[in-house]
Amino acid sequence: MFAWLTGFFANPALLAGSAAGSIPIIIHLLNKQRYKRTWWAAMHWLWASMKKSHRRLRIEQLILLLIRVLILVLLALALARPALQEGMGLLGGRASIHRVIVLDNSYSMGLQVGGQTLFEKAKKLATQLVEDLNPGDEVDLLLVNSLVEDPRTASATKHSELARDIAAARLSDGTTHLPRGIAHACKLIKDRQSKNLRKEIVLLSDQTRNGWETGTQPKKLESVEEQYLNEVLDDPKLTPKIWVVRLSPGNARENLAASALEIDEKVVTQGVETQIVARIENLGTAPANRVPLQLYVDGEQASREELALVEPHKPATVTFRHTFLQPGSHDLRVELPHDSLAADDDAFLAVDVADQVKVLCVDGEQRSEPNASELDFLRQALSPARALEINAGKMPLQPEVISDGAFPDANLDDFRLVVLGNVALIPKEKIAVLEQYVRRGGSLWFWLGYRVDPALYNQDLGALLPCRLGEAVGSGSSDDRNADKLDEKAIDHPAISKFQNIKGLPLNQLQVFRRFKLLPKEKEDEQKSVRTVLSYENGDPAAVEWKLGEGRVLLFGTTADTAWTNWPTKNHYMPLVNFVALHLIQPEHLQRNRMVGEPFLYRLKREEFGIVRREGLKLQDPDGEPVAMDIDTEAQRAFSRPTRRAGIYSAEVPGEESLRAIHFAANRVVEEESDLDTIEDAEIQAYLPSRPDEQPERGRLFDAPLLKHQIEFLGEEFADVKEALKKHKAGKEVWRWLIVSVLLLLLAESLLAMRFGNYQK
Amino acid sequence: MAKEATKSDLSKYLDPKTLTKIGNLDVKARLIVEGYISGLHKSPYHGFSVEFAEHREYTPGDDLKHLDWKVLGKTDRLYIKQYEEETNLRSYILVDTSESMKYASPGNVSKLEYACYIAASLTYMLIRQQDSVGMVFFDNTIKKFIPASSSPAHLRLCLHELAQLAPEQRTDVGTIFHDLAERIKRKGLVVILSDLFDDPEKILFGLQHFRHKRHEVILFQLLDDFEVRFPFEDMTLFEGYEGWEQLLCDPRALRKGYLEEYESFTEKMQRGCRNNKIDYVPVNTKNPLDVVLSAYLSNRLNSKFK
Repeated sequence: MFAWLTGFFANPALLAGSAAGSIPIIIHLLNKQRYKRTWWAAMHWLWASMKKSHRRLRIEQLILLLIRVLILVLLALALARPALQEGMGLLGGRASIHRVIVLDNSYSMGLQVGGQTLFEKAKKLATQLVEDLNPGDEVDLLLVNSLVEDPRTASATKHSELARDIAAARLSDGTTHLPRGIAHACKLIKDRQSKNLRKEIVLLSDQTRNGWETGTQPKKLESVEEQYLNEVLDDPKLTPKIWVVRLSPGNARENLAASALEIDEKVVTQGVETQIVARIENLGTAPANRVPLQLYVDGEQASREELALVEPHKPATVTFRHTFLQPGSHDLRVELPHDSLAADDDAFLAVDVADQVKVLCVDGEQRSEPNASELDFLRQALSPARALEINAGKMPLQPEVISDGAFPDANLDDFRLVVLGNVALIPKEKIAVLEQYVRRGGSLWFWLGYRVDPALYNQDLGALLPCRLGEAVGSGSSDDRNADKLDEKAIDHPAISKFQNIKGLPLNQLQVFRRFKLLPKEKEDEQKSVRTVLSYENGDPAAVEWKLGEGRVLLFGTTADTAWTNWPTKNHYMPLVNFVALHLIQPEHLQRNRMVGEPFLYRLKREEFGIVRREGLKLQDPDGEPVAMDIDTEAQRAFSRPTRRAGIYSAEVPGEESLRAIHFAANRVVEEESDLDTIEDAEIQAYLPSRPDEQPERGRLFDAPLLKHQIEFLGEEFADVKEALKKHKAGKEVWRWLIVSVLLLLLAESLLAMRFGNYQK
Repeated sequence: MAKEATKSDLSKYLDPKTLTKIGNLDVKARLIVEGYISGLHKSPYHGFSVEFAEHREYTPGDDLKHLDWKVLGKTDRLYIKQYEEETNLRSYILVDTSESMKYASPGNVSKLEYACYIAASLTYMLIRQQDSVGMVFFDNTIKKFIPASSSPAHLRLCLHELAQLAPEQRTDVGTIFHDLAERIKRKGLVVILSDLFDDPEKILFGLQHFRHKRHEVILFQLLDDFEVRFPFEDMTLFEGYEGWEQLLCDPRALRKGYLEEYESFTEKMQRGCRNNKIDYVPVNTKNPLDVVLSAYLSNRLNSKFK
């Protein structure tokens, strides 16, 4: 009952005040009880007067009593702030409003139509919607793209501040998710708990299909967002009316977008020609011919290519060649000629160019004779000298071999990869250092051998290894005809997938005479992240890998030298070792190339950590605005909030001697957002049920019971929008009329009382 | 006491509120009359007979034409010649003793009391000038009929009877007047003291009977100030005398109607009395008694010089 009343009244508790309407009646009755008593002689005149005016007196008294009762009842009603419901609306007046303006600032709103962008149009509409409000109304602004930005709120008295916020609002580089915008507007309504009766959400967006659909499916909300909707729909006092104002894209349909800029090599080295690949998408309907592309390196034009043809919805790639002359952080940008949607015409890449990448090789069996040490072959496979011999060009990796005895003192921060070959024992404290090293992005590569005690490895290194070690199997003799061979077909793992392109090096030529059995990890959830890199023909895994924190650990179940295998004698060995090493090395700049909406990560070097922790790390976005980075002291890294703008970000990291510039790049997710295909109102409505239990014909947009009639779609003319908003009668308050009635009744009461002669002397 | 008293001292006894403080009606009557008389230049109160009776010392206000100049010449003192008056006037004072006469607004004397003062002072005055006075007390019946006489003993009787009055019944003025008109045989002066709470037609009809019998009639309608103004403000329960049903009302709402009723009654009475050559004198009991006495005396003089 009370809940029902709250639909009609803002302060239903004050309705109890209408009991005050009985006060005049009580006073009247009390007056009848309280009288003076007197003897009177001239009763015949009194009775004559009484008989003459009796009827008139009764009527007059009744009229006055009714007016007085009405005054008090109306006053109580006015204080309870009643509101008209939909369909009650002949009465005029205007409800107080809590309006949430949801402004879509996804980059597709940057579409130029008739000399201005849709976003500028939307901002103008939003400003008009704010100016249209009465002083007592409340209004909030919500900027939404794939992310929801912090709401800007304006209290009832400060609409002008919000108008300034609207003027200052900028396009993001995010994608569109309009159901999310609606859900977050509902959250705002619920959080605000405004006393104003009429709740409105006005969503200003374009007409693109991707705002509502992914592929052919409606965009779904996360369960917590569904909850926001449910909460306001459950409470009739909070349930908003939703208008979606859809700005027309005109005839714009064709659009080219640069989706990515990539470098195939994981490690880019100075002085070596590097291939840079730009990915271009045609999201229109007609093929695009002769598309010129420009590559900018560190802000300067570096090279120029032309794409002969880009078919609709077929990604095209262009390869630029560039040689970096300076080591350090570089920023790259590829640019398409501007079309009507200019925001998606470039893509970015931040890349670290290194002189060389150092690899630490810990040899468990170091000997003075050539090729007798455990990792001699491996070092040669990685070393530049050997690489030059086989004309492989300059190799980026620089192995540094130490004995297992020296390992405990080694500083791992200087290396991106640590190879442990046939190491019998690792001190416990070093194991902890190793684990931290991996978790922060370093990688470990284990080779085994006769010095390895599987039980000890399982016990001490269990937390690091991607598998448990079983017993050693195989004769160990190179003459063994039953030696295990690698499965040449199982080469899907990214570390070795390049063998698919190398003909003439079938992996089954690689034999293993003795090996440890690799057993799955005990905990099932740990086993889930373990992948087999190489297998034997009998199906047993030969090498397994897992991710641990930011880094990887990979284990080969046999030796790195010729003790248990024939691998170093084969031509496969060098590419295998290099592929795996480059797979394991996590170039630091990869974490600095993200999509819009993802956070940047920067792993602080040992020497940087202290000073950055003291002074902080200042990141500048593409517009030069500062972006805060937080420091995670445990993982010794800096991270930003999810990025909003695409482009190159830069930071200066304080080092021991000077500042070092590093770059970050954020790219747009263009596949959906750049597609200007429009969706009709009716198609969206087909996602909404008419009744809560109905299944909409195209599936549900919201799990929450948001019904068809609760969302109205409007064109972009402000006059039409204003008219539509006016028509919304629900929540129209009538307390002003009640107060006016009370005042009129008070006046009438005074005049009538005088007229009836009760106050005459 | 009164003789030594100055003119202004005596005139204060015309105020009914002052009179209430004096217990004895005899004294009251004397004070009223002498207070009133002392205010006039010419004493109208003397006998009409020519037969000398005695000398009396001059008091201020006595007519100089009755001064005995001879005595003045001989003794150098002022004496008035008094004459044995031949009783030629019979007056009947009719006092309404019905219950409604009991009413008195707060701080005021009741109408009956006021009526007694008038009756007493008139009796005193008339008997002093040798006229005979009769007295009738009535409500809906004739309670007492005292035949007219002019002896001093009669005065005492009348005053005694007035002091004994206790009202209890309704008024039925019209009927009573018919009865009395028949009972008073010789023509004379009929003074009526009543609030006249009855039908004006009936009253006038009764009065016409007196006139028919050639009586002179002075009709004093005694009303309390509250009855004239009806000044009540608060919700009041009015309890009626003479069997009237009580009435709870807001007096402000009824005042207009009440005053209309009162005025309509007064107008009817005035018109009726004028037509019948009856002196109709409405009296507010808040006012001093000289108004009443003046009205009486002017009536007497008019009838004398007619």
